[in-house]
Amino acid sequence: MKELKDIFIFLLLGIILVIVDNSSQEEQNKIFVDDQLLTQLNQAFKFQFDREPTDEELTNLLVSWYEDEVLYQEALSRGFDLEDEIVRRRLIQKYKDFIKTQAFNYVPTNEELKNFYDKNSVKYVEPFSISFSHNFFKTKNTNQTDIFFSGSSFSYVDQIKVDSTFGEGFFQKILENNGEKINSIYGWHEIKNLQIYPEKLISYEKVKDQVLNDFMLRRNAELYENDILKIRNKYELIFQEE
Amino acid sequence: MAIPHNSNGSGAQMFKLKDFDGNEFDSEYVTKRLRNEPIVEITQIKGTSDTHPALSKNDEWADFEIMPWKVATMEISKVEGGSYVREALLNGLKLELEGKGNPFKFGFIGSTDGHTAASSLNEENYFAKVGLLDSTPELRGSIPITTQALLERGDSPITGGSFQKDIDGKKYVNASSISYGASGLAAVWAEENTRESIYSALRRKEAFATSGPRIKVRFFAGYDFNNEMINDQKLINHLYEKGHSMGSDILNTIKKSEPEFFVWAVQDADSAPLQRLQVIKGYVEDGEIKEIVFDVACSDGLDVNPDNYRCPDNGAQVNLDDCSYDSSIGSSELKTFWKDPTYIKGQRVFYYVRVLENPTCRWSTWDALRNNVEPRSDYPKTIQERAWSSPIHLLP
Repeated sequence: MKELKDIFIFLLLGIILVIVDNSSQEEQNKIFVDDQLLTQLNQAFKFQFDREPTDEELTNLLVSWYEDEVLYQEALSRGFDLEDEIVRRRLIQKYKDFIKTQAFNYVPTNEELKNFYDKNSVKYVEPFSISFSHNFFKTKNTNQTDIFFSGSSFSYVDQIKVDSTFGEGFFQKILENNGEKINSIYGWHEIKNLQIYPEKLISYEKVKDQVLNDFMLRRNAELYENDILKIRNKYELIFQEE
Repeated sequence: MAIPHNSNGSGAQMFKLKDFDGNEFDSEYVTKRLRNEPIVEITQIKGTSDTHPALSKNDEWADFEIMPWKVATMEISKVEGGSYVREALLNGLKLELEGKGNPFKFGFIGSTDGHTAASSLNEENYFAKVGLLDSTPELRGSIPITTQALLERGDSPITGGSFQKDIDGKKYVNASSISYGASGLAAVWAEENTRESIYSALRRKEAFATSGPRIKVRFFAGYDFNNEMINDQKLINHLYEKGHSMGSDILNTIKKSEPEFFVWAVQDADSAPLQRLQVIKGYVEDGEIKEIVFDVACSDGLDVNPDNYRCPDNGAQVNLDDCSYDSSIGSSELKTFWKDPTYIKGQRVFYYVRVLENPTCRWSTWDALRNNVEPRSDYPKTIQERAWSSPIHLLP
C-alpha cells in the first residue's frame, strides 16, 4: 500500500512539474516589444545614418532584432552563456564600466579643484617658448632670399617643435644668435622679431576645464582601484585538492 | 570612408577587375567605390604596395620592402592582377577607356598597422609589429636563433622545424616578420589641425605617404605657372590659384595647352638627405598599360640625363660597420617646375611623385649591428626611405 502511495505522489509531482514547466515555457516564449526598444532601435539607426529611419526601415530593424532575440533566448535556455570565455570577458568588461560610471557621477567643488591645481601646478606650466620670423638663404654668402618649406614665421614654439622643423640644436642657435645668419640642415637663416617667453604657470581660471578633467581622471582611477580591491576582498581563493 | 590596406598581401584580390561576385564593374559600383575608398595605404610594416619588380621592370626602385606573403600566412601572394597600387591605377585608366568607369582613382597614405599601440617606423628603433611574435631580433629573424631559444620553443636545435631556416650556415626563425619594414606615415595638407579639416583633406586626396621619415611633399599640376616664382614667398598661393594639388582630376585637357607640374620635397630634419625627386607616369597606349619613371630633380647640383630621365649616382653610401653616412651628400630639399617630355595631348594619364632619400641601414642591419653579428645575406642591408604623393589624373 505504501508503495502505491509513493508511486501516486511521484506521478502527482511529475504532473505538477510538467504543468509548471509548460506554463513557464509559455511565458518564456513571449517576446515583448515596448516603446523603449523602439526608441533604442531608432536611435541606433539615427546614430549611424544621421536621420530617422522610415517606417519600413524601422520594421526591418524590429524583425531583425526579433529574429536575433529568439535565438538569444533559445541559447540562454540551453545554458550556452555558461562556461563561455567571450561571455565571461564581456561581463567583466561591463562590470568594470559600471564601476567607472558610478565614479563619474561625482561633481567636485571649486575648492577641491583649486587644491588639486595648487598641488599639481607643474602640470599647468607653459614651456619656455619663442616666436620669430626668418629670412631663408640657400647659401651663406648670398643676399637672395629663398622660400622655406615650413614657413617664414613661427609663434609660441618650444624646443621640440623648432628642432624637429630645423634640425637638432637650432633652438639653442636662435637663443645664442647675435644677428649673424645661423645654419640649419636646410640652409642659412636670418632671425628677426625674436620674442622669448620664459616658462610660466598658467592661471587657474585659464586651465579650469583641464583641472576638472585631470581631477576626475585621478579621482576615478583611485576610486576604481579601491572598488576593485573591495570586491576582491569579498571573495576567498581556495585551492581544492584533487 | 574605408581605407584598403595591405593590398600586397591580398593575393590579387584587392584591386581585381571584377566585383566580389565576379560581375563586371558598372557605374553604380564605380561611384560607390570612389565614394567609399578615396584613399589607399601604399606602405606599412607588412610591406610596401606601390609596385613590384615583376610589374615595373623599368623601375630600379620597385623592390622596396616587398612582403611576398599573403597576409597572416606564408603562402606566396599573387603579384599580378590586383595586389599593387600602381597596377591598379593603370588598370583604372584602361577600364575608363573601355567605358566601365575607373574605381581605382585613389590617393595615398602610409601607416604602420602596428598592433602594439606604438608606432614602430624608425629603422634604428624598430621594435615590433605584433609584440609577442616579433619583439626580439631573434623572433623577427634578423639575428640567428640561439639553442636556448629553440629549446624554449620546444623545437629541436638539431633537426630544426618549419619555423627555422638555414642562412649562411646559421639558423634563423623562418617567419614572415623578416620581410616587414619599419613603415609608414600618413600626411595631409589640411587648412588647420582639426578633425574636420584633416578628414576633408583625405576626402579630396590631398594626402601623401612616407615610409617612416617625416619627408614633406608638394605636388601641383596646371597651366600658366609662373616659373619665376619658384623662390617667391607667395609661391604656394600662386600654385593653388593657377593649378591643382595632389589628388586632383584635371578635366578637358584636349582643349588646353601642355600641362606643367611643380614638385617640391624636403628631408626629415632627423633623417638622411634626399637623393632624387621623381614623377611616375601611367598611361594606356594601343590598349596596353604603360608606365615611365622620370627623375625630375637631382641632389648635389646634378642634372637629369635627358636620354634616360635619370640622375647620375650621387655616390651616397652607408658604413655598415656603424650605419653612419655622410650627411653632406644629398640635398635637404629638391624643388622644380617640370613638363612631361613624352606628353601627348588628350592622353588619359596619371602622375604621382616619389622622392627618395640617400641609402640608410635597414632595421635588420641595425639589429645585427647591435648584436655583433653579420646581417643575414638574403635581405637588403640598406634601404632608400621614400615618400609618395597622391596622383593627379589628366582626363581628355
